[in-house]
Amino acid sequence: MPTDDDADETLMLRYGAGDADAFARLYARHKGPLYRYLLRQCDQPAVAEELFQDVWLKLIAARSGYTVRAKFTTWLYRLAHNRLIDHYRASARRVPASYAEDCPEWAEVPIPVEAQPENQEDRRRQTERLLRLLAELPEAQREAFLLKEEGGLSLEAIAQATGTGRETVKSRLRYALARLRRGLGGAR
Amino acid sequence: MNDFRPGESEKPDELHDERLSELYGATRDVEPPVWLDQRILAAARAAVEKPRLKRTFPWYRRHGFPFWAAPVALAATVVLAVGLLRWLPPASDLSGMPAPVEEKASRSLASPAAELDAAQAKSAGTAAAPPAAPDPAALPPAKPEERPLMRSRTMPVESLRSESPQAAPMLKGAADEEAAPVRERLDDRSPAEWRAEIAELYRQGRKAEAAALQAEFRRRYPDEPLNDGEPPR
Repeated sequence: MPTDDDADETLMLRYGAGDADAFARLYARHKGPLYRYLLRQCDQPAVAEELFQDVWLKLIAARSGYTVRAKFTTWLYRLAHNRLIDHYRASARRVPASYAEDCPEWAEVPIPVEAQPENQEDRRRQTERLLRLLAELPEAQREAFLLKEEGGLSLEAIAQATGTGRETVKSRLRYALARLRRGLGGAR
Repeated sequence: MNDFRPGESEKPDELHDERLSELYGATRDVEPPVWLDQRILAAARAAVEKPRLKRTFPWYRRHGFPFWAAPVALAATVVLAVGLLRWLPPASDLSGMPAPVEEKASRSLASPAAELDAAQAKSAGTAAAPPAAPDPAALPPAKPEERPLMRSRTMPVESLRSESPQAAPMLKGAADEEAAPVRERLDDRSPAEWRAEIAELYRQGRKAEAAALQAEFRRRYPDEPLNDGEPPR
């Protein structure tokens, strides 16, 4: 369990006061989850690296004005979410329709053929299948799943980070989990 | 890492699947490349170290001067100042200089002596300050042929000693050996002899000494004219 001195928020405040080592500890703690969140969301390593760097540089620039108003991870993933939306807007894809609050595709997206229940004993192959299923999820649902799994955010924190309502987050997450379960063989 | 809390109303298995979480956990071997780590950490460090540099280093480091610039500049200044002082001729040689320069030099030599005498008189508690005159200790040694005239330099010291006994201990040793004969010489001298000696000093171009003698003459004989002893303007 992290102590108060070791908490993300404390480290960020220390970095804001000029302690570069505090940033190094924060970075080591969150670089992997944040990078994987961005990588899964855009599926292109070069783009993910660019977005990843932008998020950290934005955090560095905001260090002196940082105050503890939410969990550090909520703030970090809000920066990442906003950068991702900017990326969608700038690209030809525009912002994915799944980010709409009342997206109708949630219940209508067909389960991919290759994701039909199979008797998979090999864990590695199951993992690969999970990643494929994840990539095929609508962006908003995938984001909810990743923020839960990578960022460890609660429903409320995911809602804050993505700027949506708690119920919307709950629906997206429920949909994502149901789809992944079915794709992996209907274990539940 | 994962502190996911579905909330009171949600069924645990509706928003959390342990098997899915475990399976997804096996995909967490992807990390950002090392070069990206280094770039971001360097940017973070540079962002907080910039102001620290400004606070830590003195002005000559911030302006690009090497660390040894300040000590070398200080040493050069000291060497130049000492060299200049050693190069300048002694006060007695200033008599050969042109008139305006010589006057400035004599003023500059006389002023510290006057200040010293004033300070001595003040500390001795005398009510009336003695006239300005050069300090014997501040003047260069005299040449043998100038000996009779150079004795007059001790006059202000001796007169101060005779008129203010409190100052005597402070001035002791200034001209003890010459004190008695000089006092006799001065006491015996008439105003005309004073004027002649002052004029002779001016004629020789030794204006500092002449001015000192002149000041002493004015103090001793305030009613006597000094016109024919004054230097030609």
